[in-house]
Amino acid sequence: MKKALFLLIPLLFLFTLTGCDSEIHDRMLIRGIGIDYEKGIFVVNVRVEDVLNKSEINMKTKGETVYDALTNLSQQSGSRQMYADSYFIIFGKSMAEEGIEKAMDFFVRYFKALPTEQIFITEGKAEEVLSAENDGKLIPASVIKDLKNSEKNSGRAVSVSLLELLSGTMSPSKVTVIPILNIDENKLNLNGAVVFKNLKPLFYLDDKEIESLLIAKGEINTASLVCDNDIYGKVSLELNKSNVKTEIDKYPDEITLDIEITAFITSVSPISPERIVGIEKIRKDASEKIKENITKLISKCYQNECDVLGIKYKLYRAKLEENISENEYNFNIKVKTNIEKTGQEENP
Amino acid sequence: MINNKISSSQLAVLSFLMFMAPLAFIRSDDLNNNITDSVFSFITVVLITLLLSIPLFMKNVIIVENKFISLLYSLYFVFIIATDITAVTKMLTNTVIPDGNGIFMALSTLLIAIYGAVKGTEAVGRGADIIFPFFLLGAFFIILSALQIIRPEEYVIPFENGYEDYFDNTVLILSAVSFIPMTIILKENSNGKFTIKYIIFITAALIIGLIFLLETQFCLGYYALTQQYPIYTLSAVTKAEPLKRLDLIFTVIFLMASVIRMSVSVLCLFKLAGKYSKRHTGALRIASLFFTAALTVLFLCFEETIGFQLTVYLRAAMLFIFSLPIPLIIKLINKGRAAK
Repeated sequence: MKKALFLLIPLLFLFTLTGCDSEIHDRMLIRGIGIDYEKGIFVVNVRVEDVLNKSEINMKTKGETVYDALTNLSQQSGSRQMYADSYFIIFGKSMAEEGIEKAMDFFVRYFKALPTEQIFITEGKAEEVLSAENDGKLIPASVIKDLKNSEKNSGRAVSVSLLELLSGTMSPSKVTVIPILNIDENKLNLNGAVVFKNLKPLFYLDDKEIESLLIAKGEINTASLVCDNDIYGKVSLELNKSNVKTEIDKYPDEITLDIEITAFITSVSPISPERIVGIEKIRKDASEKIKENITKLISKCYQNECDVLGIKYKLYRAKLEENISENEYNFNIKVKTNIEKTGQEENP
Repeated sequence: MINNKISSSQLAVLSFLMFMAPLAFIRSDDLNNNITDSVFSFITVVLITLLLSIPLFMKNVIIVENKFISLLYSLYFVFIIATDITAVTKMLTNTVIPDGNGIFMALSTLLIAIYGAVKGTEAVGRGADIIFPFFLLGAFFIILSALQIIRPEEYVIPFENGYEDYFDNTVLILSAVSFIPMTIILKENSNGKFTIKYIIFITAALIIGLIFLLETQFCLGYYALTQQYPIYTLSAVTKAEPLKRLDLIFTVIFLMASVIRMSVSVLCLFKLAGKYSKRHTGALRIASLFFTAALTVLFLCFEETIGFQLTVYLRAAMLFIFSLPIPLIIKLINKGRAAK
């Protein structure tokens, strides 16, 4: 009797070992989401994997909230949505202007949303980006996702994930920078970024300002800088790495940013055997130029009370008074450029 | 034939798994505001655990001889099993299996725990032996993968909102990891020197738990506070090619540890029922299990009404009472009797 009972219990569990309740092609595998806002209605475009045809399709839906709109998707296909493989969320201009916090909560609260999804905004409609075609086919979602590598490879673009966006917004500075993704002749292009505070857009940063921001934050991997002078001609530098030390000396009167940059000379024109003579001048000019760009960026951001460098966080860590407005900070910027490689200049 | 003897190493492994399992099911709603505070809370919990473990370091602390005490401990274990299963089910229905039926999942989990307990102490001990390396491997896999996404700027000053959060989090974690009464009862069935092994395994649990909490803070930052189960979310954002997210590994290892923990609790319940009445052992065991199942369903359906905080404080208070004063009093009484 006992043995029969012990056999019965595992047998009962056999009924639970039936595998997935739906086939993979019965699921709506969502690769990316675009959100626009029109007169109080969320217009959601969804890039869906077409498993049977090995391609991707776009689906459009509307609703009073993001979830409401996404739920309506099932009426178009009968499938159940699956968000676990979604790569990105694109907010259209209308949505960004309205404040993306209206759409964000779903992605925070909904257990199936992936925190590593990349966030973009676009100057037009999110729908335009998602429906853009190249050679008669939709631009694959994986290509859009890979744009996050631009930060590392160009130094003139930023990337931000859902996790970083929310963590930044909840941090003392409450600031995040979101890249702008546009469609230019059916080609994707990252054109600058928008600074958000409390998930509301404040102002635009162009490519050069983004580069300065990355240098000032010590996050640059690759960037280019051109210095032009009668002594050495036109020199292209590859900025490779920046180390930043932030010192708060006489708070809030003096916040010192001590920036040290590693650079390589990648081209010089015209070619001249004497260009080595001007290396010290190149170093000095490069430092001056970088300092000028960073000063402009800091002035723009901090006058708008936007703590893009996370100074508030450093004050918080130093347990200093936080009640002083960002536009009252005085920055003292020091830049030192170390030219480590000069290419073939010694043996042209 | 069912063998009910385990080695002291197996008991130490069981303690480790019982200590670690509930960490996955602690919710950020209950972990007040600051995960850095929780790091200190966790260290405090380990110290309190070692203090409450004093009866484990003594010989012949047998608490299942007295009928009244057995009844008290039985009620305690019924409460612990019901709240443990509720926590596991809530986690599963909020993350991995959102469409699942909570009551069905809870009762299935209870059935699995009963199955393990029916097989006896040795079976549970051997089960823990098998699960332990998988748990360690899974935990190290997640820890190593999470190292890639650590961001130092996510550091948050501890005790920034005073010490209230620290105290609350300490009580919460302490109530979650309550396992000492189970270990005291199982110790009667173990052979060999236990103290050193126990301290080594609890230290290992401290290290792994601390790394998990620190990584949660440094990888997720403030985002962790928006997530119901922050350590689970940590595993969901980490990846190790070809795996895109490691939450499945996390769920599996912690579920395995939880099943062991519940099996031990049911095993203790069975042992107490056996001591309470030898004639009606079977009936008592079945009755206690029905009572446990009913309580679990009650907690699942009416947690909001009952009040989660109440169960936290009850568990913490009961952990203290059933770990230290009662075993010590019994030890003293037994010593007095022996002297007479």
